[in-house]
Formats: sequence, C-alpha cells, structure tokens
Amino acid sequence: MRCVIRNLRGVVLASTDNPAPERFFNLCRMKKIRIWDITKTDKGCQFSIVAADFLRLKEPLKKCGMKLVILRKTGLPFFMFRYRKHYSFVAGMLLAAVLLQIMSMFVWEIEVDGNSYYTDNVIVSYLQENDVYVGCRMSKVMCDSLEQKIRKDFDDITWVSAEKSGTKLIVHIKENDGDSVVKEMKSPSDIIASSDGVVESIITRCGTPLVRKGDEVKTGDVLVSGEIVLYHDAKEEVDTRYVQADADVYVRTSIQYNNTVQRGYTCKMYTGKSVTHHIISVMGSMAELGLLPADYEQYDIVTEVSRLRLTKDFLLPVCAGRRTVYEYVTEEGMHSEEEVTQILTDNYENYLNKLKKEGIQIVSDSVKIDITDVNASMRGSIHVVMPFKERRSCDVRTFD
Amino acid sequence: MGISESLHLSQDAVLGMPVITIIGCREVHIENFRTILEYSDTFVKMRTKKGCVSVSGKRLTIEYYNEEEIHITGFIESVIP
Repeated sequence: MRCVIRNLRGVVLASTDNPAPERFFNLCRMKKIRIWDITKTDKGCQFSIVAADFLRLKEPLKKCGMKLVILRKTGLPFFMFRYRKHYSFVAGMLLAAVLLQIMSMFVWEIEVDGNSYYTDNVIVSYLQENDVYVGCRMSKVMCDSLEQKIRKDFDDITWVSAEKSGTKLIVHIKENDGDSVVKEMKSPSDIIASSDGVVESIITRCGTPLVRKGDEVKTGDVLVSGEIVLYHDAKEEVDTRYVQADADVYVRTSIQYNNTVQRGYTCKMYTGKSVTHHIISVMGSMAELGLLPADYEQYDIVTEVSRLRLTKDFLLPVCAGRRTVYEYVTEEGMHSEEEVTQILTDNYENYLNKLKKEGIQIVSDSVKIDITDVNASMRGSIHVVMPFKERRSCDVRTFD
Repeated sequence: MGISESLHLSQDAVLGMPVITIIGCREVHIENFRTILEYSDTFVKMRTKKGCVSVSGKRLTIEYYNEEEIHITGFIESVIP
C-alpha cells in the first residue's frame, strides 16, 4: 500500500558523491523529509525520495555543501508529465473509461453454484430460454422473478438465489439432498413387480396390499393396488376409492450381469510434435494468431483460455489464451489375460457399488469370467433384495 | 530502585531507552532513535535517546528512518548498544 501511495506521488532516485552524508540525513529527519532505501555506493550513496519532498531538499543540501544527481524518476506525476502533449493518449484513456462503463452494463459470465444433479449447461440453457444469457443487459435481469421461475420449473431445486456481482450473474442453488422427489401422480396408480422374485418385506402406507411376505411374484404382478374397497359390517361392498398406492416393497430377486470387454485396443502415442497458437476472443468471435500450420493427420487440441477481468467479479468479454495441437499416432495393442481380468473385476465392483447406492442389498452372487482370443466377458447372476417402485395406472371401475 | 521500576512502567516509554528488534540476521529495527552518526555499507552508528547503538555487517541498507525509529537491512553481524 505504501508503495502504491509513493508511486502516485512520484518517486525520485537520487545519488550523492559526498562520502559522509550523515549530516544531510539528520537534517532531513529534522525537517521531516522522508527518505528511504539508503544504499552505499562506490562514491557516496543513493536514496529514494518522494517528488514533492525532493523540492524541499534545497536547504539541507546547501548546509551540507552537497550536490545530488537524479538517477531515475518514476510514478504517476512523471508519467503524466511525459505524455502531457499526447492528446491521443488522453483520448484513449477517456475512450477506455467510456468503454468500461458500457461493458459494465452487460452480463459477461453466468456462474451456477451448488448444483450437482442439474449441470451448469442445463441451468444456463434454461436461463437462455428466459432471455438471460451472456451479453444481455444487466438491467434486464430481474433476480426475483428469475428465482421464482427456477423454483417453479425445477422440482429438485429446493432453494435458489440469483445475485448480480460486477458483470457476473451468480445463481446459487440448493438441491434436494434426500431421496429424489417423486413427481406427484394425479391419477390413481398401482405398484407392480418389475421382475420375478419373492417378497421379502412389505409396509403399505396407502392402497391395498395384494401380496404378503414370502409370496412369489411375477413380472407385472400388482403388489399394492391403488383401489381401496370399503365394506360395511355385513361385508358387502359399499364404495370404492382410487388412490396412488404408497408402500415399501422389498423383493428378493436376481439380476443378470453381463459385461464384455474387447481384448484389442487402440492407444494414442504422442510424437512430441506440437504447434501452439495464441488466440484472442472478443465477444465470442475467436481469432487465432500464428503462422505455423498444424497439418497433422491425427491430433489433439488443448485450448487454454482465461478471461480478462479488472476485479474478481468485473469480467470483460475478452478472452486470451493459447491453443496447442499435439500430434499423435495410434498403436494397436492386446490386453493380457491378467489385465482383462482386472478390468472386468473393476467394472463388476463399480456395478455393485452402483447397486448399493440405489438402496439394493446384495445377498449373493455367482459370476464367472470367460476369456477368448477376441474378447473377455463376465456373466452371471446377482441375488439381491431390492425395492420395487414401478408404477402403473390402475384400472378404474365405473358403476352405472 | 527507580520510580519507573517501582511502578512497573516500561523503561522505553518512560526513559526513552532504545528498543532493538533483530529479525534473524537480516533486519534490525531500533526505536527511540535520534540521529545517524556514521553510515557505511559495513557499519552504522546512531545516537538514541540514551546512548549510541552500532550495527556492523555487510551490504547494510537503511530501509527507512523517521523521528522515532530506524530500520536497517542487510547481513547483520553484530549489534552493540
């Protein structure tokens, strides 16, 4: 901070050939003239002083019989003085100020924060449909109505806050952390079996359970009906109501597992040749600076771009970076039996982890690996206890 | 026993004793400084409110000084109050 203030006031680096400048320093101290970075040189010493204080040195210098030599002048006052007659420079500064003012009136970046289920692209595309996009007027973005629209159109978003910061629009989102929100079905529905199995447990909250623990069920069987029949004391049907069945039905069933991996593979071998071009992007239009052509047959392009920003949130629609083209050649290879076994085992473990994340309990499994010259496969069945949640609209009986 | 000692007052505040702070062997900060008596790139002698302080070393630079304090950098070899 001190350095910035000094530069704003202008700094003079001066030297003296007096071998004993101590009196001069003490006189400066008495007159409250700040000097710093005092360094001994071969003939005398050199020091830095603020431009305004330099003019006050006349008396101390006269008393000590010293002479000063200015080595360097830096800082804003000297810079302005040097370019005082460059009218184009002044015009350029004014133009830059006007351009900055105009640029600050638009949204130049949309940041989505806190999302995991909905990707940034989904949110940004949605915003674009609602006339909020990169380059739109900042004043047109109404944060309150935008928040309401997002909350209305995305069921899994429980909280949303839109914030304008500099030239950036930040959309803070909080998604539903628990079970995914099931869309309310207006029409009555049954819970049906999605595969063959034996009912392990059933807890019915709404609807009529049609199976019990230990019952065998086939694919498509109705487990919990959305039809509730009301009887009076004589056990005669009085009324029938139709609801959306709600129950936790766990069924012991088996899942067929089949995973095949080709033993042959193609891998990239980078030749080490690359061509780098600098790129500049202004308001979405990209220009490439470079003369060397990248006429490779097979290549990867790596683009690194950073956006120009004045402060953390004051972004400008100008990007600069570089694009590097790396040449590679493809080589054919063949996985060994150990490698392909490892790949299949890893895939299988990932699949089991995925099932566990879905709330499916693994009871037992029986899978085996077959390896041929061309490919390798892992097949078998996994015995699980899984919740059945599949629904089907129930048949509504009408009475004349 | 002096008054400042009996009242548990700080010596530097009451008597203007020099406060010398040495940071490693690179920096020396002296408070209650008065004038520079001698300066070269290997030796700096200065007067404080109570006596003199000498700093010897190599490539000594006076980073800044004002009415109360002085800050010296370089390779400090010795500080003699």
